Amino acid sequence: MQLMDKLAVLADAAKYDASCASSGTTRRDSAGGQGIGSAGGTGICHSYTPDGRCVSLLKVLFTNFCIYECSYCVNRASSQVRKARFSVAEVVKLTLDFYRRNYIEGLFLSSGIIQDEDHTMEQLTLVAKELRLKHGFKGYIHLKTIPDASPELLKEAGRYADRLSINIELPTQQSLKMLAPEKSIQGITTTMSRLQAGIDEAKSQRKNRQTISNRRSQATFNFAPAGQSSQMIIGADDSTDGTILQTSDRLYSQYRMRRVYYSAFSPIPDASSALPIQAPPLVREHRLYQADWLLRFYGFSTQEIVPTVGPEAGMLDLHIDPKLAWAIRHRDWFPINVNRAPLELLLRIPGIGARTAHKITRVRRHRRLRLADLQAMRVPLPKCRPFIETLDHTPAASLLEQDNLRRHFIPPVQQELDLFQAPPTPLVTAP
Amino acid sequence: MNIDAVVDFNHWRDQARLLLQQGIHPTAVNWSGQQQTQLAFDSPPATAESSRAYAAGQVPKNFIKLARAAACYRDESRWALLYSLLWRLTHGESHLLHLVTDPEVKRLRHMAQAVRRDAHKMHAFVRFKKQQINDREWYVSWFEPSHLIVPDTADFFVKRFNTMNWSILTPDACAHWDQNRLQITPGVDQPNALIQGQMSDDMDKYWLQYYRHIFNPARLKTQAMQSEMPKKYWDNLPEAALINDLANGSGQRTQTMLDQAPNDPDRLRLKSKKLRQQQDAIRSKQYPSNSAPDQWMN
Repeated sequence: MQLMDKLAVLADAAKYDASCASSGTTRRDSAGGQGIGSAGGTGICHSYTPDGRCVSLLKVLFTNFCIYECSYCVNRASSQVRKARFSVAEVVKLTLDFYRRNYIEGLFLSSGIIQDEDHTMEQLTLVAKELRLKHGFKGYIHLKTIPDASPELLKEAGRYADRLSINIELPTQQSLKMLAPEKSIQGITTTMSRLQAGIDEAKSQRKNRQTISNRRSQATFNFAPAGQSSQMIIGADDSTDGTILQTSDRLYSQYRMRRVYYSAFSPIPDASSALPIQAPPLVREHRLYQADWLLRFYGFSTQEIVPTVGPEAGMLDLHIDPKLAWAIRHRDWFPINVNRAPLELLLRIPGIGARTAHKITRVRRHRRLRLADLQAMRVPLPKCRPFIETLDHTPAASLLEQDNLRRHFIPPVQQELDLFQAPPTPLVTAP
Repeated sequence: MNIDAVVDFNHWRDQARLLLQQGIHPTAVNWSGQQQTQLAFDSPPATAESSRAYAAGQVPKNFIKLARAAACYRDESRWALLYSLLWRLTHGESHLLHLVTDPEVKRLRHMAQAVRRDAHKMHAFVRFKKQQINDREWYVSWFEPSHLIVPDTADFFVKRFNTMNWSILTPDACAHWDQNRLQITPGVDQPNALIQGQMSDDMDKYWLQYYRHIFNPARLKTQAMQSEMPKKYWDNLPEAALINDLANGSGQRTQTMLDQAPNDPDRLRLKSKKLRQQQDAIRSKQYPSNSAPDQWMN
């Protein structure tokens, strides 16, 4: 098979992995005439495809032959899509050629599982090793680790990769057993712990070196300086948003993930009959990302984000964002005075992002804020007005007491649609 | 007071320092440099409280950062704005930058933001084409930045592509690197060879192939794409030529996938003894009971 055809097959095979981050690694460059490339600043998205996703890394599979039978996956053993396999030299060459033309920040290499786990992991590591050692490649490398790969191989991979990841795939052991019978929570979390141990060890060595000596020594232990990440498939099983977010919460707290990605299962070529025919609405994925942000940057807990009682228990409201939905359920917290409230409370106001909240704390040291000031900071007033007090504004008490406050925020067109199209049962949101 | 056309941040800073030392109020300065200097330094209208020396320590570091960025903004009014802000910062409003709702501060932040975004997009959207020039490999790019950012962004490319020879050509300025020295030269018109597509690169077709196949037709979101990759950049992105066809064909492709009859997941297992054995070996793998915390197992 020609390289051009392999590239088509193995990019097609890789597109369902949502991760594209290229930020957060150690700062380095090729100034001084060594090797090629640089990394360590903010990530750069070199292009965008019409699905709205960025193209930052050359994202391909090493091979899409696979002995696993994960129902949601386009590359599962029983899938009849075309199969192909790169050689190590081919991936290395494509990465360097793309990089030199400024198409990409680096490589995201994953693979189907051929022969056994260690063999597959070895091939991926070899690509990274060649790029780093033979070509002095300073760009970004993300390697997907293979479940159950040996600790020695993981260590080797961590030496050359900026990021290592292993996908949790589904939020519960039951779902994995049903849809990905070769995978298990234990296998996946075992690898996650090993990655975390490596990342921690490298970090503490870096720290110690700095305290012992100011001189920079070359012999440092490198292990995935950009940390680890994971991904969950949304809508392939019947897990609720609450279950999904609890799993994310554990991934963040127990394995200190940099990111958990959510990938709404979308129609794939040659699908398995073990999968639901109906793909979940893309907006569900969007709401989960918003909820994920609340979890990490806004001081919310999963129990707060997802309603625990009522007809919509366990699910996020698809029509309005999770912070607004929380505010409507917790009106006793409001109104919040933007001139007096501490930062933690500002972060709870619908429509006010983390950056704006910090900005407010800076400005109000020098002057009391009015609605016009918030407008100047590009705060969406219609969304936050019912919940805030400013120098010139107190929300009508009646508004916060209204039964149908939620309706107030849903565009009329959508309300009309609601009347005619009942959403699928687990997603019922209307009060 | 007229100031002759200021060319860059350092030039402005030198001028501004002199004006500040003489206590010249911003309203008395004409930065456009159009009318030649009848009034230049002819009885500067010093203010009552006279001059305070402008030492670096008196101006917040952040101002220098913002001003350096805003200095690349394509708008002649920027020099007057920067001086006005500098004046206010050194005349009793040292906290000025915190007043994000102040019109001048807002304008400064807007300019700096626009320039940073433009530089970021330049880092992203420059596309090199490999050429043979005088028997040397040379990577050439044509780019059209919105602001005057070539000298400041060149450093990024020098560090990243240090071991390549390259030139980035733009209408405002060009940057050239020969693995030894960076040269900034005046802007040029778009070379004909680039317009007519004669300057080609074999890797372009691999890049287009990749772009075509990393796209997921089942999740069309052209708005999201355009907000990050506005049309003004499309002319110089080889892959942009594919966008319309990919977007238009996506509905049909998704429908084809949906119409396809689903597959029996055990189809291959039943046929291949080898696969069955491999899968069963993995499925029956036992892990130590303490390898996953209990709450995972529910």
